[in-house]
This record gives sequence, structure tokens and C-alpha cells, in this order.
Amino acid sequence: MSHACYVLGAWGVTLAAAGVYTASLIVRGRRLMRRARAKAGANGE
Amino acid sequence: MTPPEASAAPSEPRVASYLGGPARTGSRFTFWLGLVTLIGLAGVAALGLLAVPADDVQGDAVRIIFVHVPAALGAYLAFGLTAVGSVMWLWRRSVWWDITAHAGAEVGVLLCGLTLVTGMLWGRPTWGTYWEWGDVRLVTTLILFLVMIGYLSVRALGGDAASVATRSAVVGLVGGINIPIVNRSVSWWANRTLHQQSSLTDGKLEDLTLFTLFLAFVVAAMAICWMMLHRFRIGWLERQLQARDLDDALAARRAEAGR
Repeated sequence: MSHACYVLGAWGVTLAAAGVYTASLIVRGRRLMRRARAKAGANGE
Repeated sequence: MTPPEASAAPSEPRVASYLGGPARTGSRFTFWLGLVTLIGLAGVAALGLLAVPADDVQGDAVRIIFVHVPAALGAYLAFGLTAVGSVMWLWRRSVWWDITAHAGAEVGVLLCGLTLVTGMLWGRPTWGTYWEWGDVRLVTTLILFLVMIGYLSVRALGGDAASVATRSAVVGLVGGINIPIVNRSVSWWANRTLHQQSSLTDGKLEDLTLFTLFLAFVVAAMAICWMMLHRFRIGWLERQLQARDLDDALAARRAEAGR
């Protein structure tokens, strides 16, 4: 493949950035869910 | 010893009712959407990196088109949602649209950043340079990226929610005005850009390349939809929890004053 480092670099950066952002969304969602659970439990609702 | 009912975690419906709405950022729909997106992504990678023939002029560098163009169109779409959300906030004071605008900006900044980086990696083997300051498409895209970084910075400054939403909506509108300028820049200032015109409309792409590009658009649209849904629900949950924190603090203060 000609220009392999550019092609693989572009694909790699895209997949890595999208993957990291996706994982961060999942983690942030779970943290909020835990906070909501803890508060709902503390308020006895 | 703690009674079992007190130590058990509140069930999801209970948490949902506590928050007055959904208590999760994921759902059965987003699970299947994510799975189909991953399968589609594997298909685009197989076709784009292995099956599509190299271009006569650009060689294998043309394979960058399958990540660069969907990222650029996705950034327009996400920033477009930010602009619409900003208008709706200023017009109707709609919190729902304000959260959508914020979600669009965050997803859009990711995609616009990827557009710039993949564009630079495509430019080096094609034009012989990573960046050209005289190129209108490159510079207008960078300006759009910086404006939307500004949008996220304004949101991060803090303050009361309504003021933050209003200030950021103004920045969101500036970004929205920038979108058609970035998109049309290669036509309006055709002699001041190295960038090619639309790859889709000039009819130079081979059938398999065109098919793979359309598949990449569909996969990118599904990925953006997944990210927007999750980011919107995160924003919504944050608002609900902030409102609850405020209610609890007020109740504690009243209880203190009543003693």
C-alpha cells in the first residue's frame, strides 16, 4: 500500500478518538446513574 | 444491622421516578444501534482499506476519504443541531433544545477535530503539505473548530444555567453561520484553495468507492445518533441532579432555620 502511514494514521486517529469518546460517554453515564441511585436511596424515594 | 430493604440499591424505576424521567443514558435501542454501527464500521474498514482499488492519481491515499468526508459532514450536522438548539433556546427558552445544542457542540468538536487531522494526513501525500494558511477551506474549518471550542469554554465557565445557555447560544449561532461558509468556500474562492470540489458530484469516483463512501455516511450517521442520544441523556441527568441538589440544600436550610 502506498502512503500506508498516512492512510493508517488517519483511520487509527479516527477510530481511537471515536472509541475514547464513546467510552467516556458510557463512564459518565454510569457515574451519574450511581449518583442518582445513591441520592434516591438516601432520600428514601 | 441494616435492614435488607434499606441496604438494597434503589431499583431503576424508583430512580427514574426520583428524577422525573429516564435514569439511564443507554437503552435497548442504543445497544442495538451501537452493535449495528460496529458491524457497519467493520464493513467500511474491510471495503475501504482492502477492497476499494487505489486511485490513479492519489494512489492509496484516497482511502482517507472514508473517514475524512463522513467526519466533515457529521461535524456540519452536529454544529447545525447546536445552531438550531441555540435559536430554540433564545426564542422559546427550551431546556431540551439547550441540552441538544450542548450535545451537538461536543460531538461536533470531536468530528471537526478529526476532519482537520485526517485532512492534514491526506494533504501531505496529495498536496505535499500538511497545512496551507492561504487555503480558504482549511482556514474556515479551523475557525469553525475554534468557535465551537469557544462554545464549550463558555459553557464550562459556570454561573446560573439560564445565563450560561444564553451566552453559549450566541456563540452557537456564530458557529452556525460559519457552516455554509466552510461548505461553500471551495466554490466562492475557487482560486484560493488546494481543496478539491465535492467528491460526490464531480462523478470521478469508481462504483465500489462510491458505494463504500455511502456506507461510511450511513455508519457515521448511526455513530453520531448514538453519541448524541447518550450525550443528551447525560446532560439531562446532570440537570436533574443539579436541581435535586438545590432542592435538598434549600430543604436543609429551611429545616435549620425552623429549629
